[in-house]
Amino acid sequence: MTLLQIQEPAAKQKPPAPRLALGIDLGTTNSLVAFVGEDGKAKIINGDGKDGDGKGVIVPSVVHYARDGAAHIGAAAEEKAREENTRPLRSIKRLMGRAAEEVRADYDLPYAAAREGMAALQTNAGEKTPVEISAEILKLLRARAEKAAAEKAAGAVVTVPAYFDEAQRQATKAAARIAGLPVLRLLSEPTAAALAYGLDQAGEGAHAVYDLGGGTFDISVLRFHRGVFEVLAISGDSALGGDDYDRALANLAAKKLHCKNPDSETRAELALAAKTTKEQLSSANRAELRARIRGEEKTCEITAEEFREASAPLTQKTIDACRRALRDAELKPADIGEVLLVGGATRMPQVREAAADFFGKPPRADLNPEETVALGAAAQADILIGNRRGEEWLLLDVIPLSLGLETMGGLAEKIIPRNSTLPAARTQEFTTHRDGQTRMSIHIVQGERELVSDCRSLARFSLAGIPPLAAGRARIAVAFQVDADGLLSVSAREKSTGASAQITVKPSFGLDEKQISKMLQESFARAGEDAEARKKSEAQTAAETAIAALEKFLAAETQDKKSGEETVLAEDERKKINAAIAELRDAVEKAPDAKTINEKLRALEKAAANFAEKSVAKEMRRALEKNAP
Amino acid sequence: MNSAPPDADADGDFFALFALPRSFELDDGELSRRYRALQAAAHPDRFAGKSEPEKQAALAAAGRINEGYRTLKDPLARAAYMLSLAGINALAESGAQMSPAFLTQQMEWRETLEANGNDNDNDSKKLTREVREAEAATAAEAAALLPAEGRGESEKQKLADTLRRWQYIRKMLAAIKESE
Repeated sequence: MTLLQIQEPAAKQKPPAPRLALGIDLGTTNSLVAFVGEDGKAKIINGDGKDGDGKGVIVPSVVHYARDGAAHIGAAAEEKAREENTRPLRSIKRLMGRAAEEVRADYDLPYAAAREGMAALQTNAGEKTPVEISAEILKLLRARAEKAAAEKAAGAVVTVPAYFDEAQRQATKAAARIAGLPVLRLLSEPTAAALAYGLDQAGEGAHAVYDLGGGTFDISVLRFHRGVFEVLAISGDSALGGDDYDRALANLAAKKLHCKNPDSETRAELALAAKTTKEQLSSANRAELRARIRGEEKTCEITAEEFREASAPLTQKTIDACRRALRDAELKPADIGEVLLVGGATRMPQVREAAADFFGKPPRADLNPEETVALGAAAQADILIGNRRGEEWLLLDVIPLSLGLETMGGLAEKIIPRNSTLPAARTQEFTTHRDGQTRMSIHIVQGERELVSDCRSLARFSLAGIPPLAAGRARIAVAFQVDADGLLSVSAREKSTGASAQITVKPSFGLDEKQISKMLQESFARAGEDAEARKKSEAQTAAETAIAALEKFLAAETQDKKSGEETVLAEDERKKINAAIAELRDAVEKAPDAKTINEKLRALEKAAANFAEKSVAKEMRRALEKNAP
Repeated sequence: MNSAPPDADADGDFFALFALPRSFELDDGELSRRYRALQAAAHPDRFAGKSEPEKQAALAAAGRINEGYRTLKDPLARAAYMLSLAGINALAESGAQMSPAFLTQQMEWRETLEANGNDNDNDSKKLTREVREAEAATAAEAAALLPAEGRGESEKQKLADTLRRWQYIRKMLAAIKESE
């Protein structure tokens, strides 16, 4: 009689409960939040009109610190500012990650002040940086979504314009942290739109996303191939949007109404009226513009044709950018499969027609162009948090501006060129130019120009301990690494002595870790949260994530061992890891504070130091084997 | 600071990364397929919900895959990389000597380009064709000297010169494109 051997199936793992992951479109003019519901579909979350939140899906990106110092956001900010007879803070996104002097040169902001070189605004609640002000908007969006889901958010995908540079991305990430949102990924807005349109389902090919918002224009060329999205090229104009069309229409109206040199109040009134007229002209050949000018009600008629002509230079600018993006991608308009229209301003017929003319095909606009970006971000957030299995896309992005170093004679040497696929890693060797030189200062710059003085300075650090050798003999390897969010870290190492220095690039006018953590504390204090409790809960989450990842890896190893496949851990390594897991688990349950948990987590990471590299390497080998012809 | 030639071991062998033979002849489609397979396995997005060491390892691996792909997919970068495996970094050295004949050729091309402007389509097409042909010929010269490992010093230097000429031709092509 043969005994039937029954193998115990690997301990059945209950699929983890889905976690709330938000998709956030933090726009210049408007912001939205979305998440994937139980039905697996992304949806935009409405405000309920309570607790300072407005109604409708759109939160105007407007903040007002009232006389009592309280922050009002969105519609409530408009209302409170009106009540206090002043102006709220608008278009804060334009100030993100920018130096005070740049801001002063570009914008007429009477309330701009500087905080250690970084732009800051004078408010009733004291000096506020754009990062803190943006965090207010993010907090409102987070609260809105958490209320709707009756659950805490585990993380968020926040979208940024494709051309946002290092400093601007850092600033956005810092704002999310201050709002208590772990950032799963910064995603470029047009890429998010492509996801919302399901271009991954549309089959292989190159696509263009034409995104004309309230104050910015982005064009990106994407390629989808074998399950991978790649951004081939991006171009755009950070100071071109629907508001400029309003102004063009307002100027036209001013001429028609014989209103010469209108004062600022009249200009504002005309621009407001123009917005309504513009919307009417999206579906009519002519519309009336009605405005109160110096107390007098005035009207004039504007035809679609007149508006088209008046705004033609603006539309042409967007088409020029489309041409540049195609040139960078080395494609012709005919190579483009789908053209997606994103942003409220793409409702204007002249814009749709210009895009159709240039690409030679009718563009897609079946989704609400204002909601598209947030919907795509929500879908991506749902995948990154691990709620969806099986159909995972992978998103490859490119770096918008070249990163490099200052070399002899004030020249910029590019280390990671523009449009390199992220993450990017590159090491370049440099040498000393003086005999006996023992220090080298490293100046990191961003931009396309040849002279350092024309590029943007990101950071400086210095490498000491170079052995005193003849000029040109020392060998210093400078390694650049840019992560999937486009954030840079740089390290330098002298090869014979191993002297090294490292820096995670923080723009000179950005926030440092200390400032962010102070803002976090303040923010918790205001929200009545206990900072220590919050830290402990964050440490617990990190520990649980690490334990889950390692156990998954260990289980796969066991499986491989049984089926005679390659394993990467030796028996004693496995024992050490298991012991460290047990200790960490104990700490998560019993430790009184974050510190102990973090110590045990570091210990586990040390015990498993090589597991991560080995595990990634194993995945790569498998991928190549599976792909072998 | 000055550029110095890199040492080849510092960033490992990209051919091994893609499990491809160390050869200048390379199947583009196969390289792309392997690139995508590797990136799909190692990209940090695959590790977003995972532990910090895994995220770091994935970031490093994905960066290397991207750099390897960028280097191998372009024939000039590939040839320069193969020469660097033999100890010479041809393209980072400045002030290398070009033959007078090549320099004259360069100047003629530049003059033609400037004279053309935007209005002479035929001449511009002719120039593009000519420079493209020069590129193909230079690429063939380089191919004959690859792989560079195991060759004598004079052959390696000849290859380095060829690659520098190739780089000049690339700049010319970029200038033509820019003027279009």
